[in-house]
Amino acid sequence: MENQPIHDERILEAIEACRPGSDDVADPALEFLAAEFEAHPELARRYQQIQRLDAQLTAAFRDVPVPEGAEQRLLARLAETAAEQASVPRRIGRRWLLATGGVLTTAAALFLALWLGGPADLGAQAVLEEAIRFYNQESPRPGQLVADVTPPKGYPISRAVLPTPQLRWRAIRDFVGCRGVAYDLSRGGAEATLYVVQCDVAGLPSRPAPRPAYATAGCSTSAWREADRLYVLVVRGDAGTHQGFIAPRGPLT
Amino acid sequence: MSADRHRMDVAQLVAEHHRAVYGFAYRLTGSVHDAEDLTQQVFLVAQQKLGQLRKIESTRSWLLTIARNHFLKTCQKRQPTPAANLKLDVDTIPSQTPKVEEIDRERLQEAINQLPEEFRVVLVLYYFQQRSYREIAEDLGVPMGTVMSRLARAKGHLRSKLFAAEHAAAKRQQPSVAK
Repeated sequence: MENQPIHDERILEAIEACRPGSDDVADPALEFLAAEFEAHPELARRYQQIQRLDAQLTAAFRDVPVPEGAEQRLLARLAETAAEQASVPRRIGRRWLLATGGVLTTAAALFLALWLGGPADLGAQAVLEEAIRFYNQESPRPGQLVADVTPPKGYPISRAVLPTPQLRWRAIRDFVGCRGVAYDLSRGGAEATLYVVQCDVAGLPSRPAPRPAYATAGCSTSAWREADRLYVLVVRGDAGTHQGFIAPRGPLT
Repeated sequence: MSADRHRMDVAQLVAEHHRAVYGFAYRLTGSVHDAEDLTQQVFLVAQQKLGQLRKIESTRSWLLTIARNHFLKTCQKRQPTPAANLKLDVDTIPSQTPKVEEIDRERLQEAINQLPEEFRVVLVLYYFQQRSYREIAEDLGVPMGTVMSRLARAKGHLRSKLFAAEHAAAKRQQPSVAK
């Protein structure tokens, strides 16, 4: 009795390791089982029994009812965390250093331009260049529907742009060194993103001009300030495409 | 691939994988409250680290890996069955394979909860995620022999708890079959 293979731990463990409906028995470390099955039919029967039972247990393991409202609670928690992250000042990191380096480079170039007599707005230009760089790095990321999850307070969409019916937003970090919200304004094959951060940049208008303030790398962009918020619209396309996202001038109600 | 990754957002992750992550978390933690907490932790991490996801098709596996790691890091020590008490029991297989609806879910979870964490994780990876013993060994960074040993003992424990009544009856009828 003691020498019977059914008490051989190595064989029993190997049988237990074979997943139901798999070809695990062909695994190099388990292929010795075939010879054992041939020599000892009771082992083959045990293997088949365990395979059948494990198939049922696998189904039972996966059958877990989800509590009512769990998904909604999860989405709310995620939105809340995204909002908290958007409102907390960001830590200085590598991206911040890169952004600062970019700003300094731009400052040097514009200083030279100023030295040569050309007009320049240092902060605004740096923001526009950074916006296009940022847009090309993170786009496209649709984000969450405004109708489903409200964006964090303090980053409302501007009435100076034309909103879309299926407006989506996402939390952003490291946009000119700030956290905030990006609204996806894309529609009809035209792609555009409106970035909103709480950031003080001098020399910006209070609403966007119909024509972009800056264009490069197939993108056009404009920036403006409303209260303490910086708005930057980046559009993939030329001035005409850009204009299609700007709300017509008129009384803002 | 990169564009695909960027198109994924957390709301989409939740819609597609919430049920599986919750189920996995429930089997690991054994309580509705802890499972919901763990599920929230998983998606909070996913929200922060979505950029690290390399393949869309591996999303579920990635989420379950986060759940497993988080569970192993933070789970509170309960009063599990001491590992030394888990013997390789050869007489725990019911003579008739039960249908899935005949398996008592409450008793199943109780049996899982009684296992030490290192056995429980192996069992859940095997049954819930259908990972092979090689993959489990790789995931957990333990030798394959250890995984096979834990798996066999954990499965035996599970069967003994689920089908105890039948074992007792079978043993009364055929005492000589037992080791």
